[in-house]
Amino acid sequence: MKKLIPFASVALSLFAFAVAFKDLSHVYFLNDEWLQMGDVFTKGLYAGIRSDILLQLIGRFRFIGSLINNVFFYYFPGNAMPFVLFGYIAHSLNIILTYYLVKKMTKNLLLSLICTLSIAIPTSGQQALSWFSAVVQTTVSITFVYLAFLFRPLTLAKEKKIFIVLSLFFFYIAFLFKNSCIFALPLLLFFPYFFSQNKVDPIYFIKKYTAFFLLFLGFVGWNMYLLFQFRSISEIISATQILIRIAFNSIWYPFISISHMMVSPRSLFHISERFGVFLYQFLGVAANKDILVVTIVSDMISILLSFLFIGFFLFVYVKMKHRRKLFIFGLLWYVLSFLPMAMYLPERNTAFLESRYLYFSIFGFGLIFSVTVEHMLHTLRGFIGFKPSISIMVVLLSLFYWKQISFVQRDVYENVLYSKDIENLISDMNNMLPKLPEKPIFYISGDRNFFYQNNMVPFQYGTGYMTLMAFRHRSEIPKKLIRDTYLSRFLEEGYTDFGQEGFGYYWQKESLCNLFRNSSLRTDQIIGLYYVGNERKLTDITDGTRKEISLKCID
Amino acid sequence: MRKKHIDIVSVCEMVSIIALAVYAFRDLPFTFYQQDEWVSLGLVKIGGIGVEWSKFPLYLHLVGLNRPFSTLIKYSVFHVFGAGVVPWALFALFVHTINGLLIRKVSRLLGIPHLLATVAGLFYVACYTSHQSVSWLATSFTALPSLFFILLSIIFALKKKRMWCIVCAVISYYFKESSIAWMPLLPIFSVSKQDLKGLKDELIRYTGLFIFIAAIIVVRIGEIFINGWKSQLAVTTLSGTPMMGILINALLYPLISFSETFIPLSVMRSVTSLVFQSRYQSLVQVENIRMVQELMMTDIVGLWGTLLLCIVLCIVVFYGKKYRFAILISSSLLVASFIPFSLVNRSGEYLDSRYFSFAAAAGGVLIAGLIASCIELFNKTKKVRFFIIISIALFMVGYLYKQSVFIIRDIRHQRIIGDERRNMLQSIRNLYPDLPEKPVLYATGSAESFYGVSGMRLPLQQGPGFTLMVLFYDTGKIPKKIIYDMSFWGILEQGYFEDGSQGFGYYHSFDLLKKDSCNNKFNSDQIRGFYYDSTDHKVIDITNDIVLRIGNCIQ
Repeated sequence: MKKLIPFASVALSLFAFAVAFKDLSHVYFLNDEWLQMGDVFTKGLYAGIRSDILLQLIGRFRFIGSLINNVFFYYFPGNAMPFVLFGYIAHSLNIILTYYLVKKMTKNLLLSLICTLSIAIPTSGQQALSWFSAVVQTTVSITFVYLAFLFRPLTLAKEKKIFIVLSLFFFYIAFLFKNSCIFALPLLLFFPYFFSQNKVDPIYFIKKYTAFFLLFLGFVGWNMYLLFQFRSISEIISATQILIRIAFNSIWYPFISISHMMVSPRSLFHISERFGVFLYQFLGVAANKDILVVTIVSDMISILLSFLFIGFFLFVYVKMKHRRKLFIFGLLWYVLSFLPMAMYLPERNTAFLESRYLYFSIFGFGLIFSVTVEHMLHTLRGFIGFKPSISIMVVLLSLFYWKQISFVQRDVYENVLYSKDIENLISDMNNMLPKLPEKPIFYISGDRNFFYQNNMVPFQYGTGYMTLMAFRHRSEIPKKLIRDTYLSRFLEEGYTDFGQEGFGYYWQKESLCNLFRNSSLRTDQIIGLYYVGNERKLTDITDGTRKEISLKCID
Repeated sequence: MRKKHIDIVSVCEMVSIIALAVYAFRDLPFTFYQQDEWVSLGLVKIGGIGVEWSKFPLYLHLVGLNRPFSTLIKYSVFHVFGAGVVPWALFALFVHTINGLLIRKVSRLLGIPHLLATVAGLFYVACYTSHQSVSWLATSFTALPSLFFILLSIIFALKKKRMWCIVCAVISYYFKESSIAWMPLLPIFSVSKQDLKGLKDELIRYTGLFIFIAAIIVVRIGEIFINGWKSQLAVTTLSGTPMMGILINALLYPLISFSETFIPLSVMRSVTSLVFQSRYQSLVQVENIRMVQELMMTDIVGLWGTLLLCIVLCIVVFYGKKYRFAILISSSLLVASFIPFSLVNRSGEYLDSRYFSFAAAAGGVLIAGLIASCIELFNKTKKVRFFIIISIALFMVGYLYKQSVFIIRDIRHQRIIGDERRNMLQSIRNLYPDLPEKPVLYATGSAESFYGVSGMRLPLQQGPGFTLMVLFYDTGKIPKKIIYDMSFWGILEQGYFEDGSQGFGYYHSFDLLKKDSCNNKFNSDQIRGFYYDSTDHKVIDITNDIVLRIGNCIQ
């Protein structure tokens, strides 16, 4: 029976993960992926990988992750399946490793199960899996971090050198995948202090691993230096401001994100809107209501929720005397994991930090949460006995995780919808235009805005670049422009011509008209497309556009 | 010998409380009626206390509607000292000072050292956030005596004189209903301060108090069900049920206002704009930035402040045992003091200043407890302790001085406004020693608006019609019933009313005056018109001019 529980727990977590991410295989490339795909398409397998080995080895450019991405793009062009499979496998691995790591730390099956479930259903960090730009680096990086912790011997007495070396080696690999995991290094070095049976003096660790701590500080300092690089007095002043900002954010981000660990952005925004309209009468009629709701009002709700959570956790900390070290470890993990964000993320777009960054933090939060669940179980058992309390907790947790799963499902499904629009539009374009004219000039219009005013198609990158990518296999499309990421910003338009090849994209008829007024281009270069936004239907308006341009703009 | 020494010290301390109160509010007797005072004044003139009491049925008086005791004391003051501003102001200042001394007493009884107990009293008397409860004369008969009696009842509870405690609490309720929020906490004062032993017994001994509270609540809620929410509440109905709004307010007000009690509004404003510009850079461009900054950001900064205070409280309460009770009970009082005001909506950034009077009292004790506890924490290291004491002392001196300066500035501003009002009314009174039968007054002026109300040409915060009726009541031409019905109380109200053989009219719109005059509502010889020149502060008689201009229509 005892042997069966770990197996069942892991199976349950894997099942929960599979249910939560059931739609992952329908997700397609959204935004940054297209840029990398274009890069690999034009430059080959080693696109974007710098040759200076030293910088690579000290973790500047995440070359392992980039290489794996390139392999996927190179050998499976236009296919998202490798990323999906990679995400599934890496996250499953993470789930299994989490279970055994927590079991190693606490020797408690309940804590292991709860923490693993929190990892399996990463409400706040789902983007690490559902956004393919991030999936390889983020998930594998933490896999190796887990491995490093698993291999680190807990007792100092029986310390075996080889395990320590292995542990540090794994950590280094994790570092090469994503350098922001460096935050866990102090925790790794201090690991026995938290979970060893015999008491150890913390000074002992600092003395023993001085070199590593210096390395860690050196790395942080070097990154700080790269961030500032001041050359004049005014830059030093602004550097001080940046320093204050970093100090503030390294407390502020972890604080406000506590409430985001278990709530999806959409639900929070919904609550915020109702709350805000009640509280501030001017908000109900304000033109900028949406932006205020997702920033300030959401911040307020988050602060309130974080307040509640912290109060509750504090209570648990005071009550659960024998779990305090675990609690502190979880808290340190959680807070430290925000350090890279505090340095590199000066401002948030909404109350939420980017979801993929939170993937690391969930483990720390999971530990705290599992202790909380244990405490609740203890308290309940004191009142109503063992079996009823277990059954009540099972019901409560099922409800809770069911809600969490539905949060993740909805967020993933949102990405499915976005990427389906992109995928369909690209295939529609290809079907509609089996043959392109030479030096094509696209005029694409529509009846609805996507994401931005005047962005009439559901692309999450500049429509000009996305059109280049949509037709990248055609001989009429100049590869040089893909390499130069031509027209990759939102609402950029223009035309480039170099000898044999050329390409243009416009969304404003006036600009297109001006182009023809001042040059000797032929109107049969023009391709006109019209996107009926709400029906997601593409229509060909080439003839009309050509006629209009030749009538109005060519004398 | 030693005893005498201490006595001198405590006398000095008490004198310092009195001195600070007098210093901060020294200009109060020179201010003038602001707004609600005119109602009382009008009611006094037409018949005294009987008139005011006849406004509500007896059972509503019994549950505290219209604050019967404060009415009683108000009329006593009128009766004995006349209806000038000076007796009101002196009464307010007197009770305020006594309250400061009582807070010192309460702090002493809670075990706080005498010097810090004085700080508690000093904080209360010079609390800027709550200063309106003293400086606005209309509230000084409600909030201040109510606080006086509830403080008395706390002292009785601490001395375990339960009967007196209950009596004082009940008296306090009839001065201002909001004192009910503190009553359930009274039994706690009677139990052991170390471990709260015997709380159950104390709760039983205070049964009478709880019966009183329950009865009041039942009748008041029943009243709401019978007569509807209309006059009872000022909560917006935007969100549908007022219940929801009350719940949100009940949660939010204590959290936000907890720290705001300690932060003067002008300081808060500068902090807010700083925070807004640094944290929400992307929002600085929005068009309603003033509203966003004043309302939303103040709330967020208030939340932050409360959070910081809570952290400090937790640390201090966790480590310092000696003053734990004082700190916990005063913060509970502070939180509870805001609960009754969840029934009203805020009109500005903060809750109305007068609602903070109870909070300021609790805040004083809290500050004293916190300082005492901080010093206790550093008891072992003499040097650090000395440094801490010096820095806290310097901070407190600066803080109290700054607060009293803010109060002085505010009251001086009131004084300037009051002088203008007093002079204007005096000039009007001098202009017409006697009025015709059924007088109709017409007022206009050079100013386009006062206090942001366009069309309001006189420097008054209430209906000028009502003010003029009270002003001219002793001419014998003003009908009692119109004052009793509070006609013309609305700031822009105008018209003409008759009651039996008497009548009164007030207009600020010439067109309406002319129309009513042409409709033969009144004759032109009833009209008296004046013009207020707001730059030279002069009142000019324009009766003839008005009559001449109206004359056309009569012909």
